[in-house]
Amino acid sequence: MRSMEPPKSMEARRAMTRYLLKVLLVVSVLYLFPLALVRTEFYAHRSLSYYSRPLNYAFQTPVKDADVLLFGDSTVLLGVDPSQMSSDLGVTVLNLPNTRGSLMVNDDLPLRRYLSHNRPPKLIVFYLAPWDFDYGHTPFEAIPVFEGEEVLAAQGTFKEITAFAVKHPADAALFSLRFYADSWEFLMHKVSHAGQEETLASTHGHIENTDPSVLASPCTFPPLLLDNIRFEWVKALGERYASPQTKVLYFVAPVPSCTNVSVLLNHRYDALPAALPVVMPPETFVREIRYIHPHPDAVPKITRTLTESVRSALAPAAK
Amino acid sequence: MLFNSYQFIFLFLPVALAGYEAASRVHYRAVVLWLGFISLVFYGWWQPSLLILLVGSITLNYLAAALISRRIPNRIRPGTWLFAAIVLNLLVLGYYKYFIPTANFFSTSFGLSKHWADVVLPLGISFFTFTQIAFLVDLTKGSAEQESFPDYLLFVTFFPHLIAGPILHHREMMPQFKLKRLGLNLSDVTIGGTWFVLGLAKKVLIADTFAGTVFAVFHSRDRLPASVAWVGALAYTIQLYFDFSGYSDMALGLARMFSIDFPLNFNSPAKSASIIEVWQRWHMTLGRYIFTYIYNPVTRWVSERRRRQGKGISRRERAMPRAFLAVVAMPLMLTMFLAGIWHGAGLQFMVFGLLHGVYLCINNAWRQFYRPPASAREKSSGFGARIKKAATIGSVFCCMVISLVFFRADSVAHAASILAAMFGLWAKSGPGAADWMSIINMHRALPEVLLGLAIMWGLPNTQQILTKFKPSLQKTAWNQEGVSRLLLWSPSTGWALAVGLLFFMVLVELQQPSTFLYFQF
Repeated sequence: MRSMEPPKSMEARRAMTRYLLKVLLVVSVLYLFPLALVRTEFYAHRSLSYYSRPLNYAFQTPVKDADVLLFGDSTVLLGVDPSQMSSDLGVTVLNLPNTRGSLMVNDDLPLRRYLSHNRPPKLIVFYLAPWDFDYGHTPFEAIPVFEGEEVLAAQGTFKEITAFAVKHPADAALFSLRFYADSWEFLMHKVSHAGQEETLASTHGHIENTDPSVLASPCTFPPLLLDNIRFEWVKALGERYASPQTKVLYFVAPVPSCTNVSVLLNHRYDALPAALPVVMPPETFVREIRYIHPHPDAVPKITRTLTESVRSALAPAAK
Repeated sequence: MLFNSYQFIFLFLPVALAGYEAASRVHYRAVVLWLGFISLVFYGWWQPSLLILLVGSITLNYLAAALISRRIPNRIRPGTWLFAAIVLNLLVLGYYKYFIPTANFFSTSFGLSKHWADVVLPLGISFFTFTQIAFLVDLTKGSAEQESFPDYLLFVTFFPHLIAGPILHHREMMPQFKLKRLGLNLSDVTIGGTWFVLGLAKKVLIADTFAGTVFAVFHSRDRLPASVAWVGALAYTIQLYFDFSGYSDMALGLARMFSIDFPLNFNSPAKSASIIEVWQRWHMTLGRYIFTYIYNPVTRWVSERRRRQGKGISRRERAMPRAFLAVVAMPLMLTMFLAGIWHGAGLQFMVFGLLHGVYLCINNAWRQFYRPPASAREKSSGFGARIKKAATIGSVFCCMVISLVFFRADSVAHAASILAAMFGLWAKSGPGAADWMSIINMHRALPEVLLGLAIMWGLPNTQQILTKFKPSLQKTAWNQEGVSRLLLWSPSTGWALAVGLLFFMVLVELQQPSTFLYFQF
């Protein structure tokens, strides 16, 4: 057992203390840096995460008093062009972009924030992948949630951020570390944000999927997706927003015609109530783990399908 | 609990250090009790039920020690108690580590339908079992003393070494536990903490990087191209090397934070110029253990037997091939066989041990029978000598890489197929090299392997970096040849920035902690 090992002198002791403090300072600065950075204008335009710009757009959209609000996951962000709907319907259509990860963190915060500054829309469309309708009941470990935390850190009020930290203390504590890990991953994969901001502005909340790959045929939905088709969370959300001025439409995103698509279709979508998802050829989707992000070429067709549903939903109100 | 986890770094370690400081203010015996208690918490964190086994093992061995030392009066010979205790220890170890895998092996080999359910292998069971056997052996020989139960419990369970070593010797540790504690020592906390961070960085930033490549290659059932097989084998060697090296650094650093010195366990074995040297530098405390408690007694027994038979055992007589086989080769093969199966029940571990036995026999025979001419011995410096040394180190490293294929493979046949691929013995079939490039992400794996080798051979190890602060029990200052002064640690601003940055990078990477490879042993 060592009790009085060198360095013994007071000077050496001070040197050790200074060293320890400097190590702690380095760690603290690196830890706190992202917390300050994410709220800057610079970061809003320079963030490395792929969805940061559309997620920020949901809070900063210049589109006022939209008649139709789209609110959903990345399937609507990548698959629907609100500007095309606007010209087809003759009303203002706006998408408030989200992803599965951002919904899990922020839930309907972008919608609440928008409605607090604008008049109620005629219609809110909840548009999600079949396995995302119960996002509020999914554990955080299952899905990368950094993009949601990032937009909350950037756009949330002190109260909103504190509420999240109280509810998810471990996730809040890990935010800075995820900032570095995720940024590094995006850097390594050379993710490009080119043109995103312009497209968001011109389409009112849509970005183009830059992934050129095509889902291989035949495809099979993994059980991980099929086992999570439930609707409670978004159904309750829609019921909260429905009012005499505002109608609510639930829309299930189109799905690829994989070999086991019958399992997917064999659910009670009418309980939402919603129509069965449109089944499209696998090659109209890109090849990635979500199975449901449409290829850019399919966007006009998917948008037209949604437009028709919206037209029907708006029709009685028009009378 | 894992050293490389947020719970350990931000919860367990601060509490352990604070409790240590508080206990030292109460009474120095309170420190022993606190460290023993916190070590049991550390062990039980993952699966509390395994504490029964650990505490049961410690209690029974302590009882055996009391019987051997006659602290509990009895008339039975100490050797008999020792024999019984060793058998009991080995039975428990054998049940958990060997019985079920062996039963399943025979069941599969003979086509029987019976499959024995796997039991959870208690973490560190080999380590705490062999530590205690050594203590009992030395107690019987009179070279150890019966200790108080708290001291003994702490000696066996002290958390920095409990799961994966180093294998401690009571003569090194007991005197340290008996000294009066003065609480936390700032320089020890600083040096130990720095050492811990350096070890953590080795594990998290280097070793774990290779896990994907190793998994892809060693879980493939296709016939691999030679280049891919070599990348996989080298990646595993580097992964294991930095995993265990990092773990050893963390263990020694943590102990130092509590002002306790451990023996060195890892000393750049990749820089070894012979296989004998490898075993003096890789898992040093295991090497010391098996040579002290297996090789040396067997050699003594053989020598004694030869003496009784009227055969000589002098160095000159040992130079005769038959004597060499009896006095050196046979004990070595036996020792390395046991060292091999110490790591696990699979035949591949046995082959690993026997292969190293063969390596060591050849190495010893070379030393015994070959005498380089005086002129060659004189030319030990200069460019030619350096090339020769590099070639020697390279060939020893290749021997290590080959043996570690058995260490990682699921079976001997699997290891043989990878070795066959490494030496181009497979006919071409299955995915081609180009396909494999994408399967294992070769464009990334190859530079990583080269970088890993460069770090292994080009940088000093952590005890060299910390040498000015006597980082371990070994008394001699470590070899500083070729170590830049810039790389010698001091509490400077530059080192604070480097260590702080490394620590933070580790924290970023720790979001999905991985276990240590040596935990399975």
